[in-house]
Amino acid sequence: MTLLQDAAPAPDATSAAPRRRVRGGRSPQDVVLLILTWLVVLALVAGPIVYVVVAGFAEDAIDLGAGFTLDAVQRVFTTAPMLGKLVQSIGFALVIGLLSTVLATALAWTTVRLDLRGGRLRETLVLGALYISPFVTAVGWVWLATPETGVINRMMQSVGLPSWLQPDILSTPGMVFVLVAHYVPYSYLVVSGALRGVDSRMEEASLLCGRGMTFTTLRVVVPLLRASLLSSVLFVGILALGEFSVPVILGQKGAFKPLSVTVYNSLYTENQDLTLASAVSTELMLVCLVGLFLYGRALRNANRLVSVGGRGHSQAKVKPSRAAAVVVWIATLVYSTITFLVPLAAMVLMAMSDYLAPTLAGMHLSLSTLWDAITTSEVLSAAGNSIGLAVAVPAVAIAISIAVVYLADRAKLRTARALTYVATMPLAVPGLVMGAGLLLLLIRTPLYGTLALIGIGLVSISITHAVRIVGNGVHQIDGSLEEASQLCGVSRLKTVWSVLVPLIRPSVASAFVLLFVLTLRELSVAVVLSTSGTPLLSVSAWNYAASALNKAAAVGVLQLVVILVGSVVLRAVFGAGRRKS
Amino acid sequence: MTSIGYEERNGVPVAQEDQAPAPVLEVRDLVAHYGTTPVVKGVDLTIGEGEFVTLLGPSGCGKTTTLRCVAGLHQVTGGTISISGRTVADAATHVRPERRSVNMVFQSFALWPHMTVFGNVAYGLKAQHLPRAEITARVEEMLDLVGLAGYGPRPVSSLSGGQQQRVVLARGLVTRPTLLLLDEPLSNLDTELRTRMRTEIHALQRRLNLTMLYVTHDRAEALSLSDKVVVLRDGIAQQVGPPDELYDRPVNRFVAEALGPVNVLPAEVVEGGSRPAARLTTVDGGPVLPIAAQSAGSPPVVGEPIELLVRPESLVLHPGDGAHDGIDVEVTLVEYLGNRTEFTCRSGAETIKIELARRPGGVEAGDRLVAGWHAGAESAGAAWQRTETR
Repeated sequence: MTLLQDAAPAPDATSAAPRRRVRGGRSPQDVVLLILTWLVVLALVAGPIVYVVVAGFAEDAIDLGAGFTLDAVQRVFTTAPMLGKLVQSIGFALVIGLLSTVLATALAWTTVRLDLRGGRLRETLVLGALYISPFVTAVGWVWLATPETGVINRMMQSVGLPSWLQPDILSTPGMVFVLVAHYVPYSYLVVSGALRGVDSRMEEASLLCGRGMTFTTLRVVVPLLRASLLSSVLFVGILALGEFSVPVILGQKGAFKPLSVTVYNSLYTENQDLTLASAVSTELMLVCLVGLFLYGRALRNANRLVSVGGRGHSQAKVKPSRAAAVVVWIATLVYSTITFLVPLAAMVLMAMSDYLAPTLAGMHLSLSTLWDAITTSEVLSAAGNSIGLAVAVPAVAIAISIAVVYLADRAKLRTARALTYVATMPLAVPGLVMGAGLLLLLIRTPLYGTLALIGIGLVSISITHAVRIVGNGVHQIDGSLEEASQLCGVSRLKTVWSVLVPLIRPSVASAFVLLFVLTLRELSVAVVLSTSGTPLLSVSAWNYAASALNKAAAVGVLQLVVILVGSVVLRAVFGAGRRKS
Repeated sequence: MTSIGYEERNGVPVAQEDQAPAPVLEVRDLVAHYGTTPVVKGVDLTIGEGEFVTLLGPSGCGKTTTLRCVAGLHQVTGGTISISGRTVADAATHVRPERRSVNMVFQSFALWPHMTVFGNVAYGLKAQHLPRAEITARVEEMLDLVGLAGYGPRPVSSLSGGQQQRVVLARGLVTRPTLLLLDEPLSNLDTELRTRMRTEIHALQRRLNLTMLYVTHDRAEALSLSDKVVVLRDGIAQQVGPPDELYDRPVNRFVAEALGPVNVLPAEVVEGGSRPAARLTTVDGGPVLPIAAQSAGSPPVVGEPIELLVRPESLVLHPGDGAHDGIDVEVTLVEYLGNRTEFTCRSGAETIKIELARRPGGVEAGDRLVAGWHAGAESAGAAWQRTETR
C-alpha cells in the first residue's frame, strides 16, 4: 500500500514551457485517450462527490428537480448536537490515527532496523489483521469481551477479578481498540516503506557522534519520517472517520456514535433521510480537505528531507542482543495475539458453533455447522459475485490508472495533471460518502440492482490506489527507455504496451493483489449498492452480524479463505509470468 | 565484416548525385526552453553525409537539449531543423521522433531490461514490420559488426558495461537511420574502456560512412572523433570548425579552454595591418609577439588591450643568459608526468604554464629562465581575444 507516500507531486520541468500550438506535437491517439479517460474519471470519481455536495441542499436527494433547501445543511453545520458530534468524531478518528501510527512505527522500526530471526513471520503476524474485515473482528470480540456474558469476562469472573478490571468491548475504548488493531497494518506499510528509504548511515553517524539510540531515534529518525508519520495519521484518520461498521456493532449499548453512523442510519434505517446523509457526507469531506490542507502546510518545508538517500543507499541492520531480540519477539507475539490471533480463533470457533455459549463444551462445535452456513445458495452466489468483482475491479481500475499515469507523466498533455488529482480525490473521501454519492447518482438508472453497478462503485474507489501504485512504478522507470523505443520508430502509445507495461509489472502485480483484497473486504460502498439480487460476501457477513453472529463469523471465515487463497494464486500467476519473460 | 546498405534509408530518398545534395541535418537559429528558461539561444549547425560533428561544452550549455531537439524529444521554441531537406521542427511544426529517421545512443544506455540482446536490437525492425527472416539476418549482421556475435539470446542485464554499449550502438544502427545521435555515450564507462570504445566508434563511423552528431564534455573525444566541433556556451555556439582549427585558433578564451589548457596573458596591440603584433604587459617592457591576423570581429587596433591565448606546449624554456628573446620567468613548480613535464612559472603578477615533452636537465623551482616561442608556433601567431570586461 504505497498510496500515501509521495503526497507532494514531483516538480515538472516542462509544464511551464511556453504554451503554443504545435502541429504534430501530440498524437491524435493521445488526445482521444485523454478525452476518454477524463470522461471515465469524471463519471466515476468526480460525479458521486459533486452529487453528494449538491444533494445536501436538495429537497429530494434523488430527484434534484424537486427544489433546494438549506434545512439539512443548517442542521448539520449550525446545531449544537451535530457540531458536538463532529468534534467527537474528529477526536475519535485522530486518536485512532495517532495510536495506529505510534504502534506501527515501533513495529516497523524493529522490522527494518533490527536483524531478527523470523522477520517474515513477524511481518505476517503484524499484517495479518489486514485480511479480516474490522466488523468481523468486532463480532468476535462481542463474543469474547461483553460484560457478564463474554468468554474472557466469565473466565476473569471465575478467578475472582472484580468487574471493573474486566474488558468491555461494547464501549468507545472498545471501538478504538478494534479499529486501531485493524489500521496498524496500514500505518505499518506506510512507515516501513519510508523507513526503508532512509539511509541507515544517518543513524550510524548520530551514534558515532556519541548519541544514544533513544536520542538518535527521536532527533534523527522521527524528523526524517515526519512526512510519512503525518500522512499515516491523516489517512488512517480519514479511513476511521468513514468507518461505520465497528461503531454500529459495538455501539449497541448506547456508546458514542460517530457521524459515519449518522450517515449510515440516514441511508438505511427507517429514519431514512437522504438529504441529511448528503449534508453530513459533505461535512465529512470538508473535514478531510482541511486535514489534507494542514498536512500540506506542515510539510511545506519538509520536502528537502524527502530526497534522503538518492545514491549509495545503505540499509545496515543492527544485530540486537539476545535479550533484546527476545523482548521484541515477545512484544510482537503479545501484540499479534491480542489483535489478530485471538479474534481469528474466536471467529473460527464461532463459525463452527451451533450456539454461542460462553464455554467450548456448550458450543457444540462441528465443521458441518460451518459447512452448512457457507453452502447456502445465498452465500455461494455471494462468493461467486465477490470473486468475480475481485478479479474484474482491479483489472479495470489498473487499466484506467495506467491511462491516467501515462497521460500525466509521459504524454504530459494539458489537463492531464488535473486528471491525476481528480482520480486520487477519493483518498480524501470516506468510503461511505463515495458509496452514498454513487447510490444517489445511479439509483434511478437501469444499472441499479446489477452487479455492474457495484463493480462501477468499487472501481471508482479503487482507481486512486491503482494510480498511486502504478504512478510510483512509472516514476522509477527512466524516460529514456521509452524515448529509445520512439527513436526506433514506435509511437508513444504503442511504446506504453511494449516497454512501459512490462517494466512496471511488479507495481501492476502489487496493485492487483491489494485491490483484490480490498474489493473482497470492502463494505462501505458494497453495502450501499448491493441489493438482495446481488449479494456479496462482505455484505452477507454484515447482514448476519445484526441477527446471527455465528453465521456472520462463518461468512467471515469463508471471506478470509477466499482472500488468502486468491492472494496466493495471484502471486503465483504474476510470478510465473515474470519468470517466463 | 559485412556490407551495410546505407543507400536506402528508411524510405527517405537520398539526394541525386547531379543536384547539390541537401545536408543530412540543417539547424538554423535553434531556440529551445526548459520551462521558461531559454537553454538554446540560436544555434546554427550543418552536417553533411558521412560527417562526424561534435557538440562540446560544459554541463548546462545546451548541447544535450540541442540533440534532443534534433531527435524530436524536445520541442523547439524557434528556428528550424531539417533532416535530408525535410523540415521536421520549427515554431509551428513538430514531427514526432518515430517519424524522423534518426536514432539515438543514450547516456544511460536505455536498454530494455525485459528483452534479450536480440530483442533490443530487433525492436526497431519489428516496428517496420519486416519479414522475420530479414529481421534475424540484419540483427545478426549488426551484432557481428559490433563484436557481439552469438550474444543474441542473452538478457541485456547479464552483459558488462562495454558489451551493453555495443548493444546500444547496434540498436541505433540497425534501423539504418539517416543520422545517429550520441548523447555522451562513453561517460558511463571506465577510462580504459572509454578509450577503446572511442576507437571502435571512430572506426565504425569511417568504415560505414555514418553521419553522426555526438554530444560530449570530454575534449579528447571531441578532438579525436570529429570532422567538425561546435563549442557551446550558455546555449550559443562560440565557434564551429575542424578540431585543429579550434585548438590552434580559438576565437576566445572559452573555446581555447574547452579544448585544452591555455595561458591567458594580457597584452597590448603594437602593430595592426597584415602582420599584427602585440607586446606582453605582464612585465614592464615585455616582449613583442606576432598575433594571428584571423580572429573574430574587427582587426586589432594599435593600442588596444587584448589577451593572448597561448598553449603551454607552444612555449619553450631557455636559459636566462640574455641570448634568447622571450618572457623572463621564475620557475615556481616542476611536475614530472612521465611523457611530459609541466612547469609553473611566474612573470610579474601572471602565472604561466609551460609543457615540454622532455624534462630538461637541471631546471628546478626558483630558477630564472626565459620562456620563448616554440618553433612553428611563432609563424602562425598567437590566438587572442579582446580583453573581457567582467
